[in-house]
Amino acid sequence: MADKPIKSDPGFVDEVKALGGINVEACFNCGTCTAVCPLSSGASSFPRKMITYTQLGLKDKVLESPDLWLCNYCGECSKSCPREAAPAETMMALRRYAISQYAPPGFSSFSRMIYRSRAFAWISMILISLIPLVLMLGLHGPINSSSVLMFTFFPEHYIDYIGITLGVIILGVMLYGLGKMYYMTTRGMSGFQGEGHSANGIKWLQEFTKTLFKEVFIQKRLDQCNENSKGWRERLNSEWFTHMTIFWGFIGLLITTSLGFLIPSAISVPLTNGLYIPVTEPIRLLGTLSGLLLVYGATRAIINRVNKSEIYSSHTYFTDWAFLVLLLLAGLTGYSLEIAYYVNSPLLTYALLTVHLIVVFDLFVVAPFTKFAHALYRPLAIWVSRARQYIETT
Amino acid sequence: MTELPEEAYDVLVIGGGIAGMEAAIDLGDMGFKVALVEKEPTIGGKMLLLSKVFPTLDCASCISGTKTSTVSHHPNIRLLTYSEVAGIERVDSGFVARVTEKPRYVDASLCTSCGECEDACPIIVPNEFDFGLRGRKAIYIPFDTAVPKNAVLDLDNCIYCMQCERVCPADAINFLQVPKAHTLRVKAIILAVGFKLFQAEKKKDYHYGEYPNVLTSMQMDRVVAPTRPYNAVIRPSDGKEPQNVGYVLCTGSRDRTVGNPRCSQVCCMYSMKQAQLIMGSLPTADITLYYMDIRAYGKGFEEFYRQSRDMGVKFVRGKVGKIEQKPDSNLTVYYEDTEGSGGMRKADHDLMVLSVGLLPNTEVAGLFKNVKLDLDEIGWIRIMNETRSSVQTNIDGVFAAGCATGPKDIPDSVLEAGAAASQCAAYIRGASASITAHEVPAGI
Repeated sequence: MADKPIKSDPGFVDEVKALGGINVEACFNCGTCTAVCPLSSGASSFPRKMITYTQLGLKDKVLESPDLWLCNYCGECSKSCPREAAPAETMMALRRYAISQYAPPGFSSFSRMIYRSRAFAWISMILISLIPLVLMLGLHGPINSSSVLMFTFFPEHYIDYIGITLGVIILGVMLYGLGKMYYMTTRGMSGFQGEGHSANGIKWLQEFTKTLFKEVFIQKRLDQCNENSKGWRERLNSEWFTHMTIFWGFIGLLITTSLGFLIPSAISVPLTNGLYIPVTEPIRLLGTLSGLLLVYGATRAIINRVNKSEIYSSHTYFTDWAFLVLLLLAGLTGYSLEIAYYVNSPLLTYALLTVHLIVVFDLFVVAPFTKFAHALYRPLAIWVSRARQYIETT
Repeated sequence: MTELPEEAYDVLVIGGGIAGMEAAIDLGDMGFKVALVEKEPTIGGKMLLLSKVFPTLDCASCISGTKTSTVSHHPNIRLLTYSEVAGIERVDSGFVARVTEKPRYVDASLCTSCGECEDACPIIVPNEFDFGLRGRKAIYIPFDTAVPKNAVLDLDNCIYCMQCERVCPADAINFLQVPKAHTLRVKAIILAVGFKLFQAEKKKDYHYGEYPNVLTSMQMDRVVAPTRPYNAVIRPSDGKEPQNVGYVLCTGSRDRTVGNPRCSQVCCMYSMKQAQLIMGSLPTADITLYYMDIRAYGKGFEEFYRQSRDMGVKFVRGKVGKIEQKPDSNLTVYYEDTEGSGGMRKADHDLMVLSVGLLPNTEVAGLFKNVKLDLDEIGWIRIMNETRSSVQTNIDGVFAAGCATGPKDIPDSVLEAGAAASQCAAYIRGASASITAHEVPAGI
């Protein structure tokens, strides 16, 4: 480490500013942000360190630090910053930077452009939406206008094929990002790469399970973020609850879709030619409930951002809007589709199906390049950070 | 309200702190008639409250005490205490100021400051002199070296029991006093309105006013002064001698969240001064200064800083983020040690002192009725051209000195007061006080 010269990029500050670190140069390194942060600790201290890296142009230091993802953006630092340098925004901007940098080479500049240019983001979204639209226009079957025959209009296995193809690509991109992040954040740490790796295997697994339960399933750190919310009433109004509803809503729908594809026999009524499946059917019930959670969470998050009620909801970039609006649209079009289907309005059903599939397609395509990517990067970072603490204390 | 006949003076000095007193004495010595208006019942300002002054550790009241008595006995100075300027109007020959003198309810010409009234008064309220660390009566002599040394009755806290009136041997108590309206016609004005202290309550994370062992630096200065309350250095919650004192520098300075982005210039030095004085009183106490940058810029300041380090004062670079109280009323501070590897830290102290910053007295701009006094973006009086004159405001014939124009230390305030006095004298004598380069006659 010591024999390697430190590389500084003078343009890094401007890059971070363009990604939303609006006032990073104002910082005079007093450390108030770190001191008031409910999540910062002795071993992993932020955000001042990250801001110093930015000011010095040490972009590798930023990408090598899992601390970036330990921040849950509560905004306490921005509230108390004596320079009004908005440290929370800088942390957010650095996460955007990291998302773009962990992505595979070609996707990396695509991701960066989405963050930096609103016009580019709009055009990309429209072009991406054209893919499923063209596929549907080209591949759809006979349009029966007398009764709803959804899967005659667009056969179910087409959806499966497109979905699987897309899923494989997205998964590949995500895995590349995770791999790169793992490599960078553990580089130079003994016990992670090379010597001593296998000896700690069981411990790693334990830490991994802990991370999964505490940070993914119940998201304890996000709950800690809002120090004032102790009672359940406050919790229900907190950022944590909003996030939990979106997360579990999304997971629920993911499970519903996968189960529907993997074990069609689990659904008691055969899924052919759009026969009506009763609402009480377990998998469908899961989908309906998850959809409700998702719509509720996304709506609340959008309202927060419109009202700018908190620091974390007062600076909204295109990708934040895109993600939330796509989530909400996915939920709303899903329910509208069901209603149209139920009232037996064939043309409306076909149109809604098209829109619904486009929205879901968009949602998955942009996932690895936008804020959505934190769903995988954050748990990995927390795990690496826990493991690092374990190494340092033993 | 009693209207008094108009009086004429050469100069009106507003503010009876060290700068105002110095300017008034300088002008008085030159033969000008000066009216000095002070809103408090006594003169001396903030300097008189201090224990010692940095970096020489001279006794503050020994220096300002000579000024207060000079002012009160000077044949050319008319002193109006407990008086506030209600308005100033520009007229052809100068200015007309209306000054309201508040009633003391004590006849100053009769009062001998014997203190009998104080003893008789049953009401005790927190005093101003020690910033609430000690009590005073509703009728009180503000402090031992007060000038003028007369009792003053605080009617807001008085219960009209008339005990003071009964015991006063000089029959000086007079509940029938009403405010007096003075009209002063003057040729020039010196604004020496000083500063106000940052209200530490505004930094919510430090819990000043809520945790008993969090004090402001002005309170601490009283604690380390020879005339300290209880004659001991003790902490408020339980009277324990503090053994581990922490200082939060830049409380309310260089902080945009409270609207004061500027450095207050004196906090680093007075904090080190207090640290040295605490070490004098409590030789075994640990003292930690949490600072952002140490600004020891003046003559002898850097040496004073090094001396503090050598004496064992611990300097930690990092602004305290928050203070939490523990059940034993000790305090935990959260900060980031921004030197070295950095990182979030916690430390325990049994007394925390907030080194509060200096803020402008912006009300001064409202005194001028038919002219506008320029303030800078923070609210200090704007000096038109600092390279030409450090005391000339935007109004001809109006000068400013001391902390009225920005935070500064005592020597600089005294220096400016002298400059204001001499430029004011030149202005009155008819020479233009605003000579610009092209107006300088050829041949000079």
